[in-house]
Amino acid sequence: MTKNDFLLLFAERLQIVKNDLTIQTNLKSLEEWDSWNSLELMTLVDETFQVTLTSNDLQSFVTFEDIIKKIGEQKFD
Amino acid sequence: MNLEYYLPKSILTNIDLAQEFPGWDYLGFEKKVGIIERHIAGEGETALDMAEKASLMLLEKVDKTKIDFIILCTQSPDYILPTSACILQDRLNLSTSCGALDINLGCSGYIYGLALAKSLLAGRIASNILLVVSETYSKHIHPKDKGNRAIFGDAAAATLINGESFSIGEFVLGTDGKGSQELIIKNGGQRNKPLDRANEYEYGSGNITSDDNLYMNGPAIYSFTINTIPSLVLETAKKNQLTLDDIDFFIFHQANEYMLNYLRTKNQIPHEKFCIDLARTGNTVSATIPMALKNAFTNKIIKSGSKIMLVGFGVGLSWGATIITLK
Repeated sequence: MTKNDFLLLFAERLQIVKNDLTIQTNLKSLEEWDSWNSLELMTLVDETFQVTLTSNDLQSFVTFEDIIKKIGEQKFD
Repeated sequence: MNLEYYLPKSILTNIDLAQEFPGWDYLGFEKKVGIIERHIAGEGETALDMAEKASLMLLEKVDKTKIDFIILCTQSPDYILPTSACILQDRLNLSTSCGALDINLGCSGYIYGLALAKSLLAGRIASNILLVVSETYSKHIHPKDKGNRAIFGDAAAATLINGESFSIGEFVLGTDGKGSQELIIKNGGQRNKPLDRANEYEYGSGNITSDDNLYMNGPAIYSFTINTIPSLVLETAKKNQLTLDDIDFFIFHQANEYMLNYLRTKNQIPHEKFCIDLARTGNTVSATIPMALKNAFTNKIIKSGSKIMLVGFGVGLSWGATIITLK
């Protein structure tokens, strides 16, 4: 999976308009970013990469890039 | 089945909540979380009152003179002391030769109650145990905490444990106190005294709470759950010398449908074997498992001979699972 594929999957699951989203987007600026959607992100990362995010991870994320770093760059094509 | 439950009369619907919290996407919530309404205890109605009502429903069917032990699971006792189970013994007019104790657990409470009951039976300390779970989280939740008000409901359930309705298999239990702060009411015990007006603060998605009220870090609980419960399910099957295919029905603590669906997927449990039963009652903490068990029996989803895995998890952090077989 490429980073862009993951970004598109993230947008789809959180029902975010894809045009609004880049790797540099500040997550908290997204209207759709709420606590239920943070669970959606945890599910997506767990099922796709077998990585369980913690609530501290979620609090530390500023951009989508931070999520990718946490998952591990090596896990992307 | 010697199991009855009681729901308080008052019903709080999502539409009621949407009127209080304008702009709340309650249809989105319903779709994702699976809760439409929940019952709320009356202002003067406590968990002990509800425990009594559920027990009285059960005692219509069973000989109360046989009961020789009461286990009451609640985190909403009437008093710091005495133990609510002692008062329940008197209210139900049970024999004074009954043992009685409370256990302070939340969503894992029914499993721990079963484990204690099994031990008391095996140790020949008691032979007819009244296991009651009763919870009124609504009284702990800040009125402006929309998130928790939408999730939790109040309920009580009473089960007679004596080996007649079902046999109880092997248990897997666990605890991680490192997560104690993630689901907590900070004030009111001896560490922090209750305040008349503890400072309110905002958390999650616009929810308001205070240290006198319930606080739940949803993502932390979710992270714990998806990390811990799938292996708990596998270990419990293994300890009972069964495979997941051998189990007829799975009743997990009915926390929320979103979480349940993902847990079901992780353990590859078929839809038809997996209980989702929270639309009309919400997350009733320690009462969800016995209520779902009773409903599944009434609706003939489970029957004599059915092997049912029961899985509880939550505040503590605390978890446990077992397999029961219906007689």
